[in-house]
Amino acid sequence: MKRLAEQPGEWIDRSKSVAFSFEGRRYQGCHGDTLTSALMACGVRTLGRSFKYHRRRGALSVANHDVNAMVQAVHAGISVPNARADLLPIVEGLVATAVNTQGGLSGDRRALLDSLSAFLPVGFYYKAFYGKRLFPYWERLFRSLAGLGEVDVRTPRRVSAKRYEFADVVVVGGGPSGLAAALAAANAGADVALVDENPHFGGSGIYALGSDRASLGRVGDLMKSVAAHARIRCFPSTVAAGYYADHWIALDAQDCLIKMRARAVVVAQGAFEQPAVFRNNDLPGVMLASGAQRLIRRFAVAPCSRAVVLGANIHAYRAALDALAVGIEVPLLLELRDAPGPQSVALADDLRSKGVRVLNGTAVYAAHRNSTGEIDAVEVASLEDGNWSRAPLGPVDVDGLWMSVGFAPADGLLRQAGTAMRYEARIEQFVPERLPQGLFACGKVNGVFDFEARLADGTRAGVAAARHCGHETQGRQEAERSSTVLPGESPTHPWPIVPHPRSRDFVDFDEDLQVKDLADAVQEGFDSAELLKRYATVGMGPSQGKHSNLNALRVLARLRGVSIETLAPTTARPMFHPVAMAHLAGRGFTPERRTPIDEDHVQLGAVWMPAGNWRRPEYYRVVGRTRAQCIEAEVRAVRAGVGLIDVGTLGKIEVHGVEAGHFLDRVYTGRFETLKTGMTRYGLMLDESGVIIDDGVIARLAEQVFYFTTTTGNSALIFRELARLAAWWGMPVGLVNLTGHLAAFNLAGPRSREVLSRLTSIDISEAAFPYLGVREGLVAGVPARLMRVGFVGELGYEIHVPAGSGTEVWRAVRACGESFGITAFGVEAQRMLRLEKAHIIVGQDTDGLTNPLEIGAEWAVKMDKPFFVGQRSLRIIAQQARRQQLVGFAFESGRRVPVRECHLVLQGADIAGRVTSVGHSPTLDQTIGLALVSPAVATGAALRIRVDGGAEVSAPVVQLPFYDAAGARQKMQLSGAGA
Amino acid sequence: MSLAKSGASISLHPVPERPRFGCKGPLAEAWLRELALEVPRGTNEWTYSVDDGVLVARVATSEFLVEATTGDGSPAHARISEAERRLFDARQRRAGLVPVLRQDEVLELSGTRANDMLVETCNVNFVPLARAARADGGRLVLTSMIGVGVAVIARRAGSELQYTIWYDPSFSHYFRSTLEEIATSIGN
Repeated sequence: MKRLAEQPGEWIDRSKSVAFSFEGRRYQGCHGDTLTSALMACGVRTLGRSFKYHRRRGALSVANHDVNAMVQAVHAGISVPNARADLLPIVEGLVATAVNTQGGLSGDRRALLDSLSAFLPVGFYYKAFYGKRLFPYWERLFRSLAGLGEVDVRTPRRVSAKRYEFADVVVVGGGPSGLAAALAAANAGADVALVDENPHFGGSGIYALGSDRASLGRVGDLMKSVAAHARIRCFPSTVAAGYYADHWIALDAQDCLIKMRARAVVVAQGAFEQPAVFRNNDLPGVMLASGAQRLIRRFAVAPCSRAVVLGANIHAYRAALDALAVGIEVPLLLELRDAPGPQSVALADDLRSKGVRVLNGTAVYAAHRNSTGEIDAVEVASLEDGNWSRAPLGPVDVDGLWMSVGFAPADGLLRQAGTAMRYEARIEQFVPERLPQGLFACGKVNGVFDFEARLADGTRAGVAAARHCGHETQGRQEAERSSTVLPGESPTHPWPIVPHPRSRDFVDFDEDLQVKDLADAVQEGFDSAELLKRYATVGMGPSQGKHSNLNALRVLARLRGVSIETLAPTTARPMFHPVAMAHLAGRGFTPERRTPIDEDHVQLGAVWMPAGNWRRPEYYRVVGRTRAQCIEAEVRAVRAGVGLIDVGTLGKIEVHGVEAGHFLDRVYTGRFETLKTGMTRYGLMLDESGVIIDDGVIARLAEQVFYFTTTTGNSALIFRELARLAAWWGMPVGLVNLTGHLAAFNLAGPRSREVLSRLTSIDISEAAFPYLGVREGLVAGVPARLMRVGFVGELGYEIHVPAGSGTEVWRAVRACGESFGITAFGVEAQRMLRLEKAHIIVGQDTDGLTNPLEIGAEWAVKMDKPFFVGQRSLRIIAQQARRQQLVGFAFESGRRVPVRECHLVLQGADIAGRVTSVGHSPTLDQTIGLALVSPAVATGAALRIRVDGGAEVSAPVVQLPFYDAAGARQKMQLSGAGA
Repeated sequence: MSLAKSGASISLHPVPERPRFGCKGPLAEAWLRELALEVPRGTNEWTYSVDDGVLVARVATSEFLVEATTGDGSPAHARISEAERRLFDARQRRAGLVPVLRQDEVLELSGTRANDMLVETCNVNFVPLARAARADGGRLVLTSMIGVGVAVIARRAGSELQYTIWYDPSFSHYFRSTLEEIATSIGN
């Protein structure tokens, strides 16, 4: 066991033991452990395999970024792929297995790829697909090799909420500078949200101590003040994964995504410690010094028993002291610099006094591995003639190697927000040069590393952020004016890279990229940061270059012979941290509208279909009948007797005002200013390019009051468009959207008048209420609007009543119609009824390019009006050859032909159009349809239609409509009709 | 279907049908004043007269929602019903006064975790609205919750904070069932 004695502020609860398994073996950890810390406490150091070469990998950062230690985590029937072991809390019964192995972690058969790496050069993936012949082979091979964890489709659906949160100031990062910023902003009166990816705040102030224990107490005090502050809300275990416009931050919390809108943002995310590059720098046991310190302080785990520290800053000395403090032997500290910096000198002396050899101007030449593939020795490198070579020291036996050679700022959010960054040579780091309004940076990301300076920088940023939000506090101006203080020595070495002639000197652990891969890519011409990223895939792995981008940039700069500041680093898109798909998906809201009659439809056996965002009865199921039989029976009932359909889904809009008619004249292609009160007229609406966007019936209720319907799916869009046009044109009309507030039914069929007459005192005789008339009055005692319509080609009345009375009136109509055999009919029957009449459905018989001239609707377009939307375009279109034409086709009686909507119409080998509507008419006993086809085909005798399976049928072109060409039935001009 | 749960930290009550109407147009405000109703001055504000039992909300510059909040048989009920009848009487149509049929569904949301419901369903920050909540008036929020257009006010009755939400009745099933599901997941 590697568990240490209790550490101050440790995150684990030793009183709660947790049993779990990894790779089939059972282990015990403590509550609060991550999988990484629990396994390392049990002496397990190989945690995963690398993505490409399947090399053994262990803990690197222990900072939620260790993508080489990913597992399939199964618990309570839920299987989560690609869980990062350094983030995953252990729970009782957790079963974890390493991803991306074949035969298990220890015996991964794909490890063979490591020895084949010479045949897998950079860009191999792209090059493999050059030739068409082998494309399928490579595709199959890569598909079989690619991928990490596996999605278990049996896993129950996890519903994850999305939350909208708000704050004056969001502070991202709960380290010393973030804590100071949060307190300063809150003390100035701002409402503060403090966000940190770890379950506990404190950041490096808790674990990177060295001999300075005072900072631990200071950070503890800050944490207590933050927790007690009424204006600070804390979001632990929450990653700020993306920055969007206007200070909108995507926060990935443990169980949901939070959309945080702030007035100001303070980025105090610190810096990612960077690995050194040398041969076998990826062996289990080689890790960042900060990673080792996290294990020690947070989880009381000793990562090893004997470690060499490779350092180039004061943090390396602190890490060595931390190691000694918990009994880890440190025989050697390899100082990459010629000598310790001014801040490090005292610590170096302290280490020497404790028996640690500090070797200046040295590095790691290579790490050696034992039989289990983990580090067992370090070879030292020294500079000779400016080049690193193996020092005559001989291998140093160790089971750990800690690297502290520099940092890269955690500036993902800053860059996404558009911060201009510059390279600060004194600390070898990119720092913010120009921040967008309302965005502030502090701490390590701002180039400030010393503890006291970080606190001051945090206070400065917090005050500035609060002031940005309008909070003024006397005495704070001084803090705000204070400038950032760079550290006394650079925390980052400019070239912590010791390329090895036999490579395995990894720059990118996610993608297994070595120095030679980058060199090859540059040689092939991919010599900018952007090109190198895409060709070599550096920084494109799950950690998004957190540990690789800086070293890759250094290698690129040296290969090109330029300084690093001349190269622009890439900006990681949001989310720049792994986010669970469930969190991105959220709960998933799909608003569905229902008419007031919905429950009655259920009682009638409705089979539902979506129509826009409504649900509508497609037809009513009758026991013993097929779907087609049910629909045909509904059609026959309307033609022969009377039917009732719920059309409450239609858009229903009123226009009021002196200019209402004039307004509609400008909106629709028809003429409405001259429409008589009490009458209706068909209306066609175009967009400015002359394309049909909607149609409906417009009724004039009074001199200044019009009421009209829109298609089901378009009501909201049309209402918004009309409101926009009214405002744009400056027309004083009042628009009222009544779509959801009115129920509507169409009572249709030759006996509909008889049914309706029993329910209303309105005179509905042919003379008093002619075809296309509109009347207001009571129906079944409820205020109603009645419109004589003919969409289905029969005598018909649309009855519009308040939604709250809809069910009452529907039931009253059905009760009155019972003796007439009234039948409820659904959308499919209505579609057939209107198809028999060749009445188009906008969006079905038209597409996004169809104009009125193409569907034979010239009669509805009054080109002599001064203006209507689309008129100008239509004039131009009229001068041009037709692109397509709507035609009707009908097969011989009795023949059922398997033509479906969207089947193609052919001309020779070319596509000449498509079927828009088709069905078997029970009235005519013919398969009939409409098709949008090229004019040449439209004038032919028949259409060649390719049906399912590739067969072709010949469909005779016929005159439209198919039924009751004179329209006598809807106008009740048939002798005996309605009797 | 009642969504209210005894002792729940989130309570959702569908409000029973009440006399309610809308009106808009340049004469709408004057007409409401003729009815001796207290009309909010600012856009997106509401007033409530405890004595009258009538709530008037200004939902746009010159559009109003009027609702009696007391039960059947009360003076407010009769008064608003009569006003509604007159407004929609085709024979009494007046230029500049547009009647607006309001068949809204109404929900009342309350409880200690009501804001948890709001942050999961709407991108408006209701905290300032809640802080400023009074019994006799305040700000009205027109927004979208779970994809449905809503009007929301926050009212404080004694120590209890209550949100009233008006929405299109065609969304009733979806809106109520979804909010109930969320309330359950929040921890009722």
